[in-house]
Amino acid sequence: MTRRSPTARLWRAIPPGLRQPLGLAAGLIALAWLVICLIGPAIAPFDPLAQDLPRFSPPGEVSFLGTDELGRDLFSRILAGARVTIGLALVLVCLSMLIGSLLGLLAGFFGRWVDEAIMRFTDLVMAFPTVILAMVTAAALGASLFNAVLAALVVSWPQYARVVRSIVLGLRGNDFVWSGRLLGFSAVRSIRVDILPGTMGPTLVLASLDIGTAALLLSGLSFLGLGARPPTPEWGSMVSAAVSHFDKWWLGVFPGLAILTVVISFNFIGDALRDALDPGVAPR
Amino acid sequence: MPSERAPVIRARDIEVVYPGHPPVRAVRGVSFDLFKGEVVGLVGESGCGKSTIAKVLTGLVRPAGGAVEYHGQPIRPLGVRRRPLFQTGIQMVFQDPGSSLNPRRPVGPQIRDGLELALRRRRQAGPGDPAQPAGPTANPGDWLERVGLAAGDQTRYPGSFSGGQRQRVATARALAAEPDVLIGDEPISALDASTQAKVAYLMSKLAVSQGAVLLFISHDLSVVRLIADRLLVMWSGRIVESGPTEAVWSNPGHPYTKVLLGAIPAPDGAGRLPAVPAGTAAFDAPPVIHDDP
Repeated sequence: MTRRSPTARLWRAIPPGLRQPLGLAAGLIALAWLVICLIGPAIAPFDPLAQDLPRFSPPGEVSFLGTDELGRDLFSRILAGARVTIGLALVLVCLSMLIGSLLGLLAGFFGRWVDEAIMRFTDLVMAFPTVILAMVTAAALGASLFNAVLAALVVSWPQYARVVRSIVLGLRGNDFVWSGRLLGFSAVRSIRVDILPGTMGPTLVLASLDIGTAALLLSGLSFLGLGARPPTPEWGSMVSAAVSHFDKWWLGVFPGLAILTVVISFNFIGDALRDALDPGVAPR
Repeated sequence: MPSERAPVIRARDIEVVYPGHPPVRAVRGVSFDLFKGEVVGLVGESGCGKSTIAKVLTGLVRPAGGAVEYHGQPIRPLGVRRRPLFQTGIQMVFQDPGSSLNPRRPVGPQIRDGLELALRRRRQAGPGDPAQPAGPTANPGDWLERVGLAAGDQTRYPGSFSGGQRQRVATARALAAEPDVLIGDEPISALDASTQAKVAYLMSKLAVSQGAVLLFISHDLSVVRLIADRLLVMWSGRIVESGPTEAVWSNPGHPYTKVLLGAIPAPDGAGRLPAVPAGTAAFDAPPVIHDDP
């Protein structure tokens, strides 16, 4: 093995998909948003809820990105909103991964009627258009951020269940799984030791690809008034509020850009992870 | 004469049918006994039902008919529930070295699974239990050394071993469980010629030294001859000839066995091809059973 400098080794540690300019930019943007999630409110120049600035001040006058119809600083609200949108998207992805993986594991490992029951239910949920089902659920539950996450959860777990089930079906027939069972592994131990680790890679890739979609779905629900309630700084509801003031372009463009960059950058990271973990897809 | 002792495995009239259109009768009325400390070679061509026999003995396949007893107890098919501790005395080394070990775990912990099972069986098995394992406790490193690898290899992953080395590790794991029946389901067929004999010999040596019976399944007669005390020749789901290895080898009685032995290439440079009869009708001849000497 040849010796490499620490910089070169660090470079090799980055997934190949992220090593090109576009991927690197996406990675940095995503990283920046994650940092903003953590420290956003601390670096915000104004209180995101305070209504003490001039109303509809364009970008650059009173504040960096201007102010909204109630005299709140747009920049501070976008920074504070990162925690709401990205944070909840992460929570949503984690929950759907957990629920979907668990159901997929059970269906794939036990097969027969367990598989039939779980997968038919999954098909049932997947048969509905995602956004419509989420909207109906959110509307039925009542408008709140918590209910929006719950509604999004209802539509986003099935894909994990399907992917994990198909991986488990492939793994289950392996000789090493049978060897484990012959060595007296219980079903739980067999799943934990021989099956679960094999499902992790593809599931994490799916999850990272899903973060952008989840952010989009949550801000979409908020945009429709089914998610965040005023005055919570949420990007979707900020865009929604901008609709009635179409001439004040900054109100909609900046929160929109925030959503766009989050969705694109996390999708790029998901792509890169997939390329890195799946040798079948050649890195572009 | 082994028949004076109680067999470890007693199989009577096993029938296995795989569902399909039409259903496949993989095993048609197979009976045999396996005795403590012997090496039995189960030979025959691909698809003759050899591996199915292995799966029946380990409970991976439920026979459609007949009975298999392990120390006088019927073997319970493996379902969702954990395998009965008593039956974990039957262990198996699988055919494909690429999938017989979990690629995501170092080999040390995988061998430890076998050791833990042996410990559990010792704790549970009462005195006088015929399946009770005996012998000193070992660690994964000891076992790696016993199969000709280094004790330091336990932190390595299966992917970094060759096929032959992986089958050694799989053998170590199965034997670490201190079984009294070890089944090798074509464990050497995916290995290259120079490794085959070594792995086969290692398996038989270790199994016999533990007092286990080794059922060695293979289509390679020349290797089986080196290690087996007794041969079972299978054709089309039936045992067509059985007896001590030398008796079958030197005096094959059944037409199929003759063809099987004739198919072994002789390294004389003459390039003879085995004489294959025009049809398989001759193979329907009654089974030949060689008596023990």
